[in-house]
Formats: sequence, C-alpha cells, structure tokens
Amino acid sequence: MSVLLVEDDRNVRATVKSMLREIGLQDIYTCSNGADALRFFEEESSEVRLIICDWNMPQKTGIEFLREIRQSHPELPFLLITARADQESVIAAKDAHVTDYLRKPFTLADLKSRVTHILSHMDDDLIGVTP
Amino acid sequence: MATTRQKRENKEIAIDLGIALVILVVVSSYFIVHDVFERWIAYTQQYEQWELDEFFAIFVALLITGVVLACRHIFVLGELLRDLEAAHKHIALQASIQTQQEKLAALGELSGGMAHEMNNALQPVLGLGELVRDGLKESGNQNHFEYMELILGSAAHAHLIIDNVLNFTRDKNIEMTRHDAFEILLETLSFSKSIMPTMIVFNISSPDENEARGVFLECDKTSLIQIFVNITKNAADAMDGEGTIDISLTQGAMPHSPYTPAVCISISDTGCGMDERITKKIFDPFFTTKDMSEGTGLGLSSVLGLVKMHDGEISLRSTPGVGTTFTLHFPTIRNNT
Repeated sequence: MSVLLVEDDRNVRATVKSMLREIGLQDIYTCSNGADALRFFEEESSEVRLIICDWNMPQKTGIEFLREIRQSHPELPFLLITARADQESVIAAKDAHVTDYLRKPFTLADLKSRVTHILSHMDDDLIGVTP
Repeated sequence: MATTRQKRENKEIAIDLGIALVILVVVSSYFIVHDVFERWIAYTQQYEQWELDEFFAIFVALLITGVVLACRHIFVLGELLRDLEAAHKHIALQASIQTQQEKLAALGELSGGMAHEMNNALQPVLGLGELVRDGLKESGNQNHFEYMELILGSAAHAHLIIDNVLNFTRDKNIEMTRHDAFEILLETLSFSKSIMPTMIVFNISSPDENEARGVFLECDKTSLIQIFVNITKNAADAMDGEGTIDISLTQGAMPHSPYTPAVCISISDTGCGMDERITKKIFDPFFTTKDMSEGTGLGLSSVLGLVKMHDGEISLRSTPGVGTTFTLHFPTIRNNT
C-alpha cells in the first residue's frame, strides 16, 4: 500500500517518513508542497491509498490540496498533520472533509493509532500492508 | 465635559459672592450696631471721626472677606490639584492598559506563527527521539535510555509551554447564537469524540426527537467544544486512554433556579476518581494532579469560566477508584421566539 506524504519542512518530512516505516508502511512517496503533490497525485492516483499532509505549505496549502482531492476522490483517506493548535482550524479541516487530524508534535503511538484507525475503515483489498 | 466645567465655575462664583456678601453684612452690621448709639450722640461734635470709623469698618470687612476667600480658594485649589493628579493617574493607567492590550495583540499574532515553527521544530525531537529511546532500551544501554527520556520529557514540556502561550493570547471571538439545544450538543460532543484517542468510546443518550423539539440554547459553538474536549480529555486521562465515557442529555431545570428550564449534560467515566480534597480544588486555576509535562491545571478552570459565560452551572461527583461524573446545566429557551 502506498502513502503520499506531503510536508514542506525537510526534517519533519524525514521524521514522519521514518515513523511511518517504523509502523510498517514501506511504500512512501514524498512531496514538499501542495502543488507538487497535486501533480504527483494526478499521475499516480491509482497507487496512493493514504495521504498524510501538512497544513501550512508554500504554493498550495494542505487544505487547498485536500479540497481539490475531494472533488475527484471523496473517500480517499486524508490525514492532516499540522502545528496549528486552535480549534477553529480543526473545524475548518472537518468542513473540508478531512478523514483525521493530528497535531504536531505527535508521538509514534499517536501516528500509529490514527493510521491504524484509518486503515481499519478501508476496504481490505485496498490495503497491501497492515501496520 | 465643557458644560460640567462651566457649571462648576458658576457654582464657585456664586459661593464666593455669597461668602463676600455675608461677611460684609455681618462685619458692617457689627460695627454699625455696636457703635450706633455712641456715634449718634457724638455725631454733631465728631462728624469726621464717625466717617473714619465707618471707612475703617468697611476696610476690616473687606480684609476679612479677602482672607476668607483666599483661604477658601487655597482649599479649592488643593482639591483641584488632587483631581488633576487623579485624572493624570487615570490617563496613565488607561495608556498602560492600552499598551498592554496592544502588546498582547502583537504577542498573539506573533505566537501563532511562532507556535507553528516551534511545534514543527519539536516534531523530529519527539518523533525520532522515541525511536532512539526504544532502540537504546532494546540494546540495554540504561544510562543513555534515561538521558533520552529526559530529552523527550523536556521537549514535551516545551510543547506545553507553547500551547499555554497560545491559549493565553488567542483572540477569543465569542459568538453567541441560538441553536436547537440537543442538535448543537450532539454535534459538539461528537466533534469532541472525533479528536479523542480511538480507544475511548462515547456512549451518548439523548431525548427522542419529539421531546427535544422546540428547545433552544444560546451558545458559542467553539466554547461548547472547548468545554466538552476538556472534560472528556480529563475522563480519558483518568481511564488511562481506554474505556467508555457515558454521556446523557436530559431536560430539566437550573439547580439554583428551579423555574428556569435547562438542558442537563452528565458526563461519567469509570476512571481513578478523586477524593474530596482534590474535588474541592479541581476548578482552581493551575491546580493539576497530572505530571508537569501532561497538564497545566488550566483546563477545568477555563471550563468553569466558559460555563459561567453561558449562565450555566457545573458540578461534579467523584469516588476514588469508581469514577467521576460532571454535570452541566445550561438555561434553555422554549420555542424559537
């Protein structure tokens, strides 16, 4: 199962990638902004089963990326990871039909719990690897 | 302001004239009455002396009037100076409050951006730190494992400080709007559930549609979310992140105002509970039973503030080892009038 990780901060991107590997997800694509991610997704959408995306990014924010994804893929699991702490942001994310929401900094247990929860609600045939 | 000052000046002039008139009349009368008989007898022989005495009387009267008025004005001037000083202090205080508010607004704006950067910076420390710590534990390097625990604890504390600054400075736009009471409560409760750990189950019971119809609540949606998130997070922590939170929504009356219709929300957990010593202090700011890196002691005190803001009431019942029940009441409006 492939995961698309979108994060503009190089250190955070590498960290989350390592954490995802630690919980058993090996096939991870990475992009550093929403615009690149959208281009990648348009070409490789059949591969991607889970998107993990930051909120604040240059060119195209995570929420803008999510809204565009939702037009063609209303059910695709989308986990928003963000350092924004306020509840208004959480409400905005929910309004944009985010699947789940994880506040940075998060622990390995937090990430594992959210990913496991998301994957447990996906069809079995879509999952290649179960964390 | 100008009208008030003008009135005050007119009053002062009237008082001055009154005082002058009274003194002149009293002093002049005294001299005249005292000497009138003698003067009448000596009038024919000592006409010039009489005239001199009369002028002397008027001079003394004017002198006394002048002294009294001067004393009074010195007293009034003192009062005015004190008023002026108080006004200066008030202006300085207002300016200081204004500056403080501007600083807080600027800090709020800055802290939003700063929190984002700091939380991002902490992600590798906490995320990779855990992996390193687990590796050290497996390799049996106890000293380095303990050092890593300290590093992670410190990073978690730094994250908590960032959250506190954000909570303190965040612009709280409270928007009180009228909602269908049970609909808004169920919506905000289910939102709170969505951000809880997945091992926490919410068991919500509410009145059926017919019973709930026509009951409205004047509330701020974000504040309700904040109230429920804080209470349910405490419940989840009391149950070590795993268990069931029972929530019941009913109609009733305000506990301290039995004729005011209310909605009652009861939130129960089966966690560790609290003894009386703790329950007495649970709503106090900065009171916490949690570790420094886990709690700030501001969650339930902010809940109390938000409940009061909605004219609501909150109480709790807790038994150590059995669990805790928070009961909230909010006044409702029947029919949407």
